[in-house]
Amino acid sequence: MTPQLTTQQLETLANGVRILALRRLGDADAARDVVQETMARLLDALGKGQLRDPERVGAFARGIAHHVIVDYRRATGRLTTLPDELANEAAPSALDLLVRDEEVERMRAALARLSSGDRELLHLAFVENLSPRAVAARMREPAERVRKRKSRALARLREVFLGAVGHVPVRSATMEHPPVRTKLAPAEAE
Amino acid sequence: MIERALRCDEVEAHGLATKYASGQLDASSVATFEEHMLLCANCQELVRMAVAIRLAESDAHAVALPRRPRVGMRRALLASAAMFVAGAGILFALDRAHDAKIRGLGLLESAPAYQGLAVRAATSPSDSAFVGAMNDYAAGRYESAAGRLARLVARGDGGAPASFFHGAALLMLDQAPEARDDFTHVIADGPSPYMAEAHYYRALAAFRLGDADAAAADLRAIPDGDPISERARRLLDQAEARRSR
Repeated sequence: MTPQLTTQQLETLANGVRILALRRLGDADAARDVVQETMARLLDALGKGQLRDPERVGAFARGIAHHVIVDYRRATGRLTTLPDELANEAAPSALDLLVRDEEVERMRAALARLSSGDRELLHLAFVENLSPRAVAARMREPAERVRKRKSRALARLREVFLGAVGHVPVRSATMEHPPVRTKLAPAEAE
Repeated sequence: MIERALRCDEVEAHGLATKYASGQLDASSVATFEEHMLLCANCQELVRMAVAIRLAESDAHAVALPRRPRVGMRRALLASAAMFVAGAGILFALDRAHDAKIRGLGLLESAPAYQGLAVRAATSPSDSAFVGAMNDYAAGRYESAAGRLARLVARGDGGAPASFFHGAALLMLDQAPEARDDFTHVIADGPSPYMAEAHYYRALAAFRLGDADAAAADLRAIPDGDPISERARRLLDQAEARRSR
């Protein structure tokens, strides 16, 4: 069965491919090219029924994106690692391009409004990159309590971070339960 | 390593979006996370949030903000002084950013496995205190395990196994200085089945403390062919890559 993707699912896929491409390439223009080529190849492949397992559309799209990135690097003479190794290669600070300066400023203002404990928790998790278990140990609190505090703090930050930039709320009706490896919804009518 | 389809609550519980954004997932987990993330707007936003929080909390970003130009001799002198301070601040911030990358190498996701006395084949305490401590350790109760093992070590009863797993428990609790001391004791006590791993985990502790040179020395001390030598080599490569950036 050939899966059909809704407009919103296609938009989500394109955003995801942009993140993946930025992480590999660290170049916004290159990432934009990779997104366009990947989505074109993906739709073409889906139209030809080349996806045998509809539940693996994420893996299928990732595979196409990987090939497009390898092709891009070959074409630009930047393929310095084996294609298999490229899959896990991350350009330094590449994902910094995902957020704009004003978003960082807004995030800093939102962080300043958190309690010192919540801010420390987020610092340990996001800047020092400690695992949730290590954060709980450092703060000498039960892991479950730390998890809830982190979740609440992130929810507050999310409101500020997403609220003013015109994003569609990410937990909209169709994405409440992301369709990972499940049958995809029929395409929306044109 | 993650080898099956993910759910959003698992991504949040394991901090996978943060690790993905900071390049700290292994290749297999990157694949699994990306397969999920490509179809999940929620996890895409988590990645963006992780980046935004890191940048917002980063001194480097704060001092790199553009400053208004100043005019006049006195103001120019003040501006020069400010530039010097800002420059020092930038260097300090870059140092801190680099430091954070090095420290990240010392993160320990899962504790060294306790394989039992027969497998380790070490002379070790057979008393119930050690067994009780290792039951805590195996169940992930590292604080309790560390306390019980510390008492054994203090009495001189534990030998290399007690010191090694005391260090491992402390490493899981992110108490790197104390963990490093334990692994140093294991190494200083001479040959044991724990020697190579003690070098490896002491290297992790050194990374957590920002001491990349000491970490590299420990990783190089692990003999080729040891079961942990391949991991040590990969970690050494990662360290070299991060230091050269």
